[in-house]
Amino acid sequence: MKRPFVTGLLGLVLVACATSSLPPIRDANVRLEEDEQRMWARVEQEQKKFDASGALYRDAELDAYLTGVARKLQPPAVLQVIPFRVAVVKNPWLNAFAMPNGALYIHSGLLARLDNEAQLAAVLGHEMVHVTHRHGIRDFRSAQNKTAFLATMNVTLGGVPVLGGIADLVGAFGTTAAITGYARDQEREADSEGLDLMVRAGYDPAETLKAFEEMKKELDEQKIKEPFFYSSHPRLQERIESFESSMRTTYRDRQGGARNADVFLKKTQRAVVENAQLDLKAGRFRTAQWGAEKAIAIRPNDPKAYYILGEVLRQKAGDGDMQKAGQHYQKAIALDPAYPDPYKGVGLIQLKRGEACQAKKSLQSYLALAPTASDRAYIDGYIRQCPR
Amino acid sequence: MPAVTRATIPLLLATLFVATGCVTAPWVPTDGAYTSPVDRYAIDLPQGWMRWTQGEDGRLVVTRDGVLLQVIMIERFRVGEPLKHTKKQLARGMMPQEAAEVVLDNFSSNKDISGLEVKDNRPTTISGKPGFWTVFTYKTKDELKLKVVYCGVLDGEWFYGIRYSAAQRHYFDKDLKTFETVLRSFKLKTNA
Repeated sequence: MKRPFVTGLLGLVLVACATSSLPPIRDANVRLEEDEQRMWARVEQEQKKFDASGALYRDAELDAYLTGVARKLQPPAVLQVIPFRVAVVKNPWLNAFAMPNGALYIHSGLLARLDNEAQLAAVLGHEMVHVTHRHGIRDFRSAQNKTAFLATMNVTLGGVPVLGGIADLVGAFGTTAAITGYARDQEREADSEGLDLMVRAGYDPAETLKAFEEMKKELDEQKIKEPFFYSSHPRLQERIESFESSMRTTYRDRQGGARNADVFLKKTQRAVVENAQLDLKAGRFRTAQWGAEKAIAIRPNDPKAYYILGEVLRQKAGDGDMQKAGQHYQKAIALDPAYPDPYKGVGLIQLKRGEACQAKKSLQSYLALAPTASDRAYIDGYIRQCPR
Repeated sequence: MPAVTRATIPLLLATLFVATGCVTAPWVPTDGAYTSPVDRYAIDLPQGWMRWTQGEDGRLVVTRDGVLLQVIMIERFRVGEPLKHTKKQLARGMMPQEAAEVVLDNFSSNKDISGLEVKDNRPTTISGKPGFWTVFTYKTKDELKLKVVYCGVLDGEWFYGIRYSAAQRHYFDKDLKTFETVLRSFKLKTNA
């Protein structure tokens, strides 16, 4: 008699399972389901905490530009339901993610490696599909169904089902999957639908492939194995091949399109500089140097970018690096004589060379411009090394 | 019900730490002077705290109320050893400021923390050798704001890091003086 009872119970639970297939949000008439609304509310709280955590690169003009590009990819009806907006995370690693409520985040590392607006649209389009196609709630329901199944097994086997706290999981689950990557078929869907979004908005689809190939080169060079936006499921090479196939078939008649490189590079230049500084801290000297040089190519009179180039070379301290570092510091000083840090760089190089009294002058200039510098005590000590 | 005396508190804490499954290695009450069996230093630890020697490298962990609230840690590693979050490395003959920069960059490159702010960074003397004293704050993934004093000194091929980390609110100020006393007592055994 026990078997029919178990089968019946199992059937009941499976019938009761929420469906994990939901139609995509394509117009303003879509009503969010109850658990989805709870997920959004929870995610909103997490998002507020994240935004206030100091993890974001604050540049209102850049955020507005990025959000503008994102909103170009969607029809107004969808924007009525999902208030897409984009922010930049201070993080040199290559990633981007979307919260189920339409908050999109792009790491400064990924932003710095893009060359134009079309490539940005490819990244944002991919992330937006996760939102419009409701991958967060679908993933959650799928996990919930598995939990319900396991709970049934627990009941039938005499175990204690632990279902409490599932509701609390909603928000966390939606966010975690967004950051670490969705299931393979959802990533594929995001790739193909995202490409479609950027093409419909008038961007050149070939830029997607260029971005992917650049990214692969970067990952290979750095020997990076951890999951990233461009290397998570399905694997990067597989995704490149899939894009190539789309270009040969679906978009074979589509030649060219907007790239908007100039405006993109101008808007993102400061973020590229900030990201180069993060790479420098992480000891990724080559990437930091590449970032600083890219920033200079966009804006040749950027003192901070020259300072970072100087720092890369001073800290790397290879053959001839100190001399080149000194030249970059001098260039930064020439561009902005009120910028304190390059004076310190010059002074530290002079100290290393044993030129304590020349260093004194440079270091005094540094302290005059940055009297509350957190490293003042060291600098005072170096200045005292010169008896005169 | 018998009153809990000061002397029984460490014992109760030790029992609590083990009973709650927080640790797998044994915590023992501190009893003043401590000499590291492998790391060649001696130090005076505060009375009434708990001590744990973590891992094969012998990192010393000392706390009174639990490691999330306040902790003093002493670690030693060989210069040139890869650090966890930055590719930069400590090197022989580095000036204290350069060593401090590597340590701070290692912290700020940790993906699990955010908003690191350096409050102080200055030279100091540790066991008679030139070292550094840095103070910084950051937020953990769980939004806990921690304040840290990290002091370091290079001794030949070894780097010693002596750290005090505590919840910024309430706990940090409470035990800062204790940490300063601990730091002053730190003696490299090569100096003996």
